[in-house]
Amino acid sequence: MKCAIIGTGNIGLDLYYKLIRLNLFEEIIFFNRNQNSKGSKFCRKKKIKLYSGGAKILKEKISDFKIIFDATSALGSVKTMKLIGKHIKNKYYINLTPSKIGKYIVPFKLKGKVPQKINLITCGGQSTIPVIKQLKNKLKKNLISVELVSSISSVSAGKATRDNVDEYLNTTEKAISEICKIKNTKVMLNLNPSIPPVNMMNSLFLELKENINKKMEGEIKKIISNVNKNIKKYIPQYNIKFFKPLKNNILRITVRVVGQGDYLPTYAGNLDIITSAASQISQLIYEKENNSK
Amino acid sequence: MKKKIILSDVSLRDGNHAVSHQIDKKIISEYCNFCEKIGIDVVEVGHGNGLGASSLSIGRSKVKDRDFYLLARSILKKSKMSIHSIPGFSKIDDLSKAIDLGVDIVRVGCNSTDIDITKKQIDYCFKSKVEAWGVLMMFHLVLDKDKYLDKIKFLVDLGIKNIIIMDSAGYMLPSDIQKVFKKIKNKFKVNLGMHAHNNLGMAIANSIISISSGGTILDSSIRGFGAGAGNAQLEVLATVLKRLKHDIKLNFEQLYDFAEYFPKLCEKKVNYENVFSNPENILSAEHGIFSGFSSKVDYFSKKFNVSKIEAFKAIGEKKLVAGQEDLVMNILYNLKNKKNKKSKIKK
Repeated sequence: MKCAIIGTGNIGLDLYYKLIRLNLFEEIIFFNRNQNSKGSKFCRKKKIKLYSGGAKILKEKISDFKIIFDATSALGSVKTMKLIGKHIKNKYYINLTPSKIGKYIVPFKLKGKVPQKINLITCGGQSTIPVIKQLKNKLKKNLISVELVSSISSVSAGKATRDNVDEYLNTTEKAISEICKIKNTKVMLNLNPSIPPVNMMNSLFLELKENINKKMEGEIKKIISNVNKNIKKYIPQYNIKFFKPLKNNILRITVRVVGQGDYLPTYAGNLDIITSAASQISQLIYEKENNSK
Repeated sequence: MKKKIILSDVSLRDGNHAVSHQIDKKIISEYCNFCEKIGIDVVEVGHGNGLGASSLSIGRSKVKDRDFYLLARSILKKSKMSIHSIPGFSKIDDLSKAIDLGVDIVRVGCNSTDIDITKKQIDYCFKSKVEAWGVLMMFHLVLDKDKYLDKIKFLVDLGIKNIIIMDSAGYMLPSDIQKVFKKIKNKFKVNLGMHAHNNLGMAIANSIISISSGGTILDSSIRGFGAGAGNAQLEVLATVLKRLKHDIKLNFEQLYDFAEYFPKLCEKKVNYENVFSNPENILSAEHGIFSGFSSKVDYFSKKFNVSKIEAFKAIGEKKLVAGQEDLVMNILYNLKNKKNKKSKIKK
């Protein structure tokens, strides 16, 4: 099985190292547009196979690949889809940009069916949706609104992130609403200029209709530790913490994401959680395809 | 007569920080009427952190954005109405709704270090034919090595004609202001404004020196009503400007009357006492932290029993910026744990 990665920015290169570590795929080939970019130079130096003709070249070679990772930008992914959209039957397209293309997926507890076009939502979404969903299942209608504040280091926010703040907020809010079935969601994003850079941190505020009792608090703690364990499987330094309610009807949970330091530095947990999720999903696809053979 | 100064009043926006965003409709309507009557040029309204920022983590506003803007709009005729918008809190969708309600000026800002994220909203304002100003918040973060010149260039290249230098932390001194304003005016054709905070007692001095160094816009608020130790106090500022023979066309009698009445109006409504620079305001400025954090630090330092001096130092080291109010709890919680560990070792 072969994979294509479109885009040789931070995300694409970090994903490459994760896929190499999986050691499942015959070949991983890059496609980008600018042969003089930093990413192109890096590929040549490391002798990584690269075509700098953009998605057009990919379209010509598309029959070689089973999985296509799009690590361009929100706008880039729309352009890619225009070019290759008709040629990806029986293939998987994994969207690592904040654009709307694909079905929202968090690999946590993803079993059996893998959709053909996959959207990895956003870093805030990937980091917190599993815990929000599990808590919603438990709290049911008592959970009336969710607020997520994500802080990421300024240096880990590349041009694509900066150009796409609005898409980031919209996509994250929509994904939380849809997947967790919560109407009232609010998402905010902060860039932190501190040097040395801070790790990615998410604060969740869950607003409840009625206070929870001691027994419920215990059950919530159990759910949180379970989610923690499961996500640590693909991103080891992921950490959820529960704080006792400040005001009685507001639960506070923080999620810290420290990256694995493959191509990107460890503080860029916001990017690592996306590449980790993509790599985890590609492993599920590999297992599924091999089982069906 | 010296040059005309544009007076921009931020009481109904920055003041919201001072009362946990509880400014109500009575205050909005009385204050807007006052500004209109005495001749304030620009009146900024809304949640302390601007458009779309009402939230559990920062604080929910008593009056929703839409109702706030509609009420102010119905009163402000001669005075222009402005709003503050920080991408990351607000979205284009929010901006579009606000523009539909008839906002005159959108002051798009974010921390100076990351000013490039304002591009989309600024472009959107221009496309919608609404005046957009650029706001460089937490300006002290880009003081070093004249980093601010690149940030100004970025805004000027987008087509911005008015830029506010926002000393969110109340950190800067008159000598900083003088240097910054002169350098910018030398290099760029742009109108500059000063938004001062009074943590170190410098709000009036900083505002005045910004004018003698080329600035033409001043932010201020009645009685200094604003985050932390408050802003430049409107009635003091106006009096000093008059003495310096600037062209200030305010009705001073009504100004002083209202300044006297304002604390009474607030006391009843929002439990607000006139601001002084408390030790926590001084400490936050010393460590370059956004003024609005003080109340959170006060609350959690008591809760976790850590000293305020240690607390502000730790937060300063993390360079927290406005919007990261949620992290104050975590940092102080960790401080408490560290302290407990140390005392256990001693035992």
